[in-house]
Amino acid sequence: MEFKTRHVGDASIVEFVGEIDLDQSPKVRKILLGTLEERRPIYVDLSQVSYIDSSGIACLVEAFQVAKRKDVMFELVQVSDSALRVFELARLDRVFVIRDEMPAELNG
Amino acid sequence: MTRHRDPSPQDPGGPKHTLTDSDPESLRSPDREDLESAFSLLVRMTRDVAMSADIVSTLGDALAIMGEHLDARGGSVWLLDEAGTEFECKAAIGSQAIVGMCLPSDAGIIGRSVRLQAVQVVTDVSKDPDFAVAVDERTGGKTESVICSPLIFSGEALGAIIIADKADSRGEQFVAKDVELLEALTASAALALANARFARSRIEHDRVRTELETAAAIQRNLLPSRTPQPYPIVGCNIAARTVSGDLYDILPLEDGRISFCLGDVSGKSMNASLLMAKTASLYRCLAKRDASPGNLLAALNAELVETTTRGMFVTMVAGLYDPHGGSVMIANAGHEPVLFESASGSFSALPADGPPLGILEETDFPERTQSIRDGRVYIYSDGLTEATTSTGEPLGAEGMQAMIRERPPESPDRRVDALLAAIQRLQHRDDLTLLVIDDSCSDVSYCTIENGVLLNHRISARASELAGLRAVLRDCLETAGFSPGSNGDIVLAIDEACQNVIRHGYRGECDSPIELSVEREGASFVFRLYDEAPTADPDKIQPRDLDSIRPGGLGVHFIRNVMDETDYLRSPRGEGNLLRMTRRVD
Repeated sequence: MEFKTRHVGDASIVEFVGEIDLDQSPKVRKILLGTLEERRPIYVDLSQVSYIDSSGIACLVEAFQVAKRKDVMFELVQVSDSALRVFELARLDRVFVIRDEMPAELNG
Repeated sequence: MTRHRDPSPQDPGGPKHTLTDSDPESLRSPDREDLESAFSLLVRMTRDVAMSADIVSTLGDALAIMGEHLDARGGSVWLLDEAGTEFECKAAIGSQAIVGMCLPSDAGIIGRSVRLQAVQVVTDVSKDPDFAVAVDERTGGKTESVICSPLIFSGEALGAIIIADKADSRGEQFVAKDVELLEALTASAALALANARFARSRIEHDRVRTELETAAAIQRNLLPSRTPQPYPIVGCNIAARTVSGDLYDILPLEDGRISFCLGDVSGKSMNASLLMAKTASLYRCLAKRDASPGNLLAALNAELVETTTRGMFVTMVAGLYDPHGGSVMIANAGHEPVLFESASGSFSALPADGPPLGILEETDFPERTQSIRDGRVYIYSDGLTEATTSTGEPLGAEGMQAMIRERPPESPDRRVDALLAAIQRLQHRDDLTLLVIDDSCSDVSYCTIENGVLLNHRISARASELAGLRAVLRDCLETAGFSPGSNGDIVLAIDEACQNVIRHGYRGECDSPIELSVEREGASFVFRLYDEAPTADPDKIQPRDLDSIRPGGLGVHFIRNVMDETDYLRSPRGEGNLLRMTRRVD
C-alpha cells in the first residue's frame, strides 16, 4: 500500500493506493492520526484503493471519531467501487461524508 | 367457596394471579427488611441460575434456598418433556420421594398454572379439585397450601415450580412478596432453561455437520489424487451434496496396462456413501488379483449380493486400457453407455450388457475389446446426462456429444480441461462423475480437476500472507465464473475469516497453518478454512461459551452477509477447527 500526502491551502489531502488489509492498516492508522495532529481539514482520497477490509474500515472510523473530538473536518473523497461496497456491507456509507469528487479548489 | 379466574387488581402484566378462596387484600404488604433480604436472595438465585452449567441441579439449589427463606415444608421443580405431554419432578425439598415422578401435563395445580400461564395461590388444597393427590400419596404427607408459578419462555411452557406449606414463626400463610419472589425465580429459570435447550440443539446440529464433514473427508481420500506425470486417463467427480454416491478409480498395473472403474450407488443416503466406500476398496483389492473387467465385475457382484442391504445396488463400468496396443477392454454392469470417439471424430456407444451389481447371484458380465488408437473414451454417471444446461434442458447423451465436439481440436492437450470446465458450469442435482481416456495425448501433461476441488492453498497465520491468498482466490473465482462483485465479496469474507483464525484461534501471528480449499458441490461452492488452533470440546461447551469462541465484530458480519451458510466445526483432520462456508453460483 502506498500513500501520498499533499497540502493545498490549509487542507491536507491523503491519498492511499493499493490494498488496505490487516498487514497495512497499522500504517494507515499512523498516517491518519498523525495528520489529524496537525488539526488541518483532511480529505482522504480512496479512488485508488483496490481492497479494504474490516481493519482498514476500523482505522477510518477511529480517525473519524478523533477528528470529531478535535473538531477537525474529515471527509472521504472519490471512494473506489470496491471500497464503497465494503462501506455498504458495514453500513457505514451513511456515517462518513463521502464526496464524489475532489473539491475544485483542491485539484493540482 | 372457591373462586377461579379472579384477576388480581395489582397485576400489571405477565403471568396473572389466579386466586382461589382468598382475595388480594388478605395478602399482606411486605415490610422493608423482608424486602431487602428477599431482594438479595433473588439476586443470588438469578445469578446462580444464569451462570449454571447444570440448570436442573441449580434449580434444585434455588428451590432449597427459597424453601429455607420461606420456611416451607415442601416444594418441587417440575419440567415438561420436549413434546410438552408430561411433567417430571426434577428436584424437591422436604420429601425426596417425588423426585422422578411423572404427571400428565394437564394434571395438578402445576398443570393448571401452565395451562392458564398464571401463578396459582391455593390456601387449602383439599378444596381444590385439581390438586394431584398422587403426590401426597407418594410422600406420605398432607399438603395444605401451595403457591405455584409456571416456567414460561416466549409463550412456551417449560414446567412449573411449586412451594408448599409455609410454616414460619409468625404462623402466616404465603404472602404477596413470597409469590413475587417465586415469580422472579421462575422468570429467570425459564430463560436459562430455554438457553440451555437452544445450546444443546446447536451443539447437536454442529455435531451432525462435523460427522458429515468427516465422512466427506474420508471419501475424498478414497478417490484418486492428482497424478504427477503425464497421464492419459483423467477422472473428475463433483459431488451434489457433502457426501457422494459415485466412485471412480484408476489403477496402473505392473505390466503397463491401466485398470479403471466408474460406479454409481443407488440411493442418496449415508448408506449409499458407505456402500460406495466399500465398493471402492473392494475394487482395488480385487483388481490387483485379476483385472480382467468381466471377472472383476463378477467377483464384485458376488461379494455385494451377499453383503449388501436389500434393494441397494451399484451400476459400474470396469475396464482395462492398454496404452501400447491402443485398445480398451470394457464390461458394463447396468451403467450408462460408454462413449467412444474415434480419431476422426465419429461417435459410437457401448451400452450395458449385464445387470447392476448386487442384485443377481452368479451373473456373467461380458467383456468387449475396442481399438481406440488416437481416439477417446468417455465414461460418466447419469448425473452428467441429467444435468441441465443454461437452457434448462437436460444434457442427455446427444448434448454430451455436442459438448465434446465443441471443444477445439487444435489444442488437444487443453481439450479435456475445456470439457471439464464446461461440465463445471452445468446445474446438477446428482453427483457428477466423468472418466476420460485419451489415447492421442499420452505424452502431454494434464491439469486434472480432481474431485471438483478448484483450489487448495495454505498459508502461515501471518497478516503478510493474506495478500497472496487473496490473489490466488481471486483468480480461482474468476475462472469459476463469479461476477467481479461477488468475487470481491467472497475474497473479503475469506480474508476476514483468516484474520479471525489468527486473532482468536491462534491468538496472534505465528507459523501455524491456515488452509483454504474451494470445492464445487452441486449448485454451490464450498469454502473450507482449516486451522490447527485449540478446539473447544463440544461436550464441554457451556451455553455462555458459544458466543465467546465465535468472535463477533465486523469481520463475522461480513462473512455471514456474503456467505449463504456458515458452520463452525471441529476439523475432521484431528486437532483444529474447520470453518465451512457456502455460496451459490451467480
